[in-house]
Amino acid sequence: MAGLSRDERAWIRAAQAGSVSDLEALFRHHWPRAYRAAYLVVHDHAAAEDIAQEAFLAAVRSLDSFDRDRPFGPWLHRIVINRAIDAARAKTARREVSGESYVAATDPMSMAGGNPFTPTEARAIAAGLVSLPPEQRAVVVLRYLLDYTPGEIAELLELPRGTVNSRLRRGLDALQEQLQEPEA
Amino acid sequence: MKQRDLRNLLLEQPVPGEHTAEERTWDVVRQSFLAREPVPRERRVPWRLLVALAIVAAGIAIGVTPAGSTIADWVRDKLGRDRVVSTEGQQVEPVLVRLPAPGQILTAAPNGVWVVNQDGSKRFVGEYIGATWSPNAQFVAAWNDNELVALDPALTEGNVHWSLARENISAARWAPSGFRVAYLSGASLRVVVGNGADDKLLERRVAPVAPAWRPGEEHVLAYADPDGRIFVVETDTGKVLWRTPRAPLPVALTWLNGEQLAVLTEQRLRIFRAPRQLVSAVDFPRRLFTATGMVGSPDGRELAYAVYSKRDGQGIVFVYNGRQSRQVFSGSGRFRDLAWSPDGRFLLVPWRAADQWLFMRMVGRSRVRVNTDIAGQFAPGEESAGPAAGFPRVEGWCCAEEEPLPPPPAGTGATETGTTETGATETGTAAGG
Repeated sequence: MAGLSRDERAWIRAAQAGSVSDLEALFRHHWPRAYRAAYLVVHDHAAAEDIAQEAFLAAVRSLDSFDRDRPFGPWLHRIVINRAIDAARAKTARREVSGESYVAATDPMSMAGGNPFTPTEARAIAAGLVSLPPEQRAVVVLRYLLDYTPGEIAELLELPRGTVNSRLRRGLDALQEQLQEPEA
Repeated sequence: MKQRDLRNLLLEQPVPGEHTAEERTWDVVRQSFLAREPVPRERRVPWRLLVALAIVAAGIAIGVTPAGSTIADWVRDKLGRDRVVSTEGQQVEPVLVRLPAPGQILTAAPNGVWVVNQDGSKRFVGEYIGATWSPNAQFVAAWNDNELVALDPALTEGNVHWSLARENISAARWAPSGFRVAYLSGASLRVVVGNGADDKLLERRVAPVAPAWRPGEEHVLAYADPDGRIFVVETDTGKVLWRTPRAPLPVALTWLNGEQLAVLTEQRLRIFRAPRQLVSAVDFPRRLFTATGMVGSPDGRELAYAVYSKRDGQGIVFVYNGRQSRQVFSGSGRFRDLAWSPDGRFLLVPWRAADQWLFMRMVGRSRVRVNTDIAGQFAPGEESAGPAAGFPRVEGWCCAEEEPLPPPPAGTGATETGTTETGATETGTAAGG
């Protein structure tokens, strides 16, 4: 994960001084990945919106005490991912699989170009991601969407590094298996 | 599978609603940001010492100043104009001589439900634990633990039009159209047609907070789930129109008008406009105050709410007009069940600690009519159970003039006949009054 950029530091400083436009810049910069990360873990767009929104509201509440020398992204992502894991666990407990939104989200016809996967493979990987336990899903999302190293993930989720590595390995293996399985 | 390819897939996978969610969230975040009270950063470290000293000083001040002055200071500083109305020198009625405005007040005392008429006379409706008016006060929906009934309040021990057997009933609310009644049964939310027919489960698990019907003829209901999310739902179709993020459980919900929904939690008053746009918020300092009740004015322009000071045991009543809150009363104890007169000219503040009803004039010159010995009038002989043991809960103040029944809209089932799933006794009459 990239460290704190000069822009980000300036946005935070100005937002702390009351600048709405700088807060908006900070928000617009971080929203896409925060929302996407939440969605990929919880697979429910309404829940993802709630989770990302709560994380940003928490950021606003803590803005005045936020240390400008700390990167904002990891702080935000820690909240997003932990809440998304909780929401995904609760959803699993309620046996609510949001199939409709999943199908809409993985419609291969709407995928942008430049992806090496065929539509069938993309669908298989997305389905594989849904089938992972929330904790594995979260680690895969942190590693491959948000670009954290295993060490950073371990710190973010307060897990032993070995646990992170094993979850990553198992997650990738499961996705690989999905790719190799014939389409139902 | 290459890891770079997986990264690209995760980055490019379309995510539904990303941009609309972004705009909705930015609205909420911006409003939260504008409502916050920034702490000057350069003073942060010295403030720790200053705050500690201030807490000590505040403790001393609370001990030596008249009750309520700390609250008043906070109100002046944080919420807007201070307009405390003293009850000294005001008209004090030893009994409920007459109400200061047209309409009837519905109460729930320990011995049952009562109606207070404008001339001050009272009528016992029946041995129920709670009740709510129909829109034009022609009917009352009343409940016990295991029964919801609709009855005619004009009759002593009112003539029951229909009844439903359900467990742990509470918080029934009659829709403005008159054709639906929403109520809680245990943790679930149910809706029944106004004639007792077609009782349906709307939500299996909700928070123990009274739902709020949106003004208008459409059957749109706001309620809270156990995670503090507020749902706004078309009850006839079950369609969720919008909902808010998770939050602490609300104390009360009320519509300011057909467009804005006020959500009061213990620490915050939030006003939402559809769909889920937070338009304003008032925060109450956590260590000092907790909100206790709220009611919207009949014209939907204002709402009255009450907070309780944990430090000195004072309750304060505010009126919020969408821009600022003004304090209208403070006194010892908690204020919960506020009620506006149907013409909006008076706010009834039931003051349990003083065993009084305060009718506070909200337009023109400030005036308070005080009615004393309320508990004794509703539940004589309850004195042994403690001071104000018989003090009734105010369930609503309705309505100036009776209006004719609205015609039943097509397909509402309001005039349906036949056997319902509940086995409710049906009269075939739309209780739309």
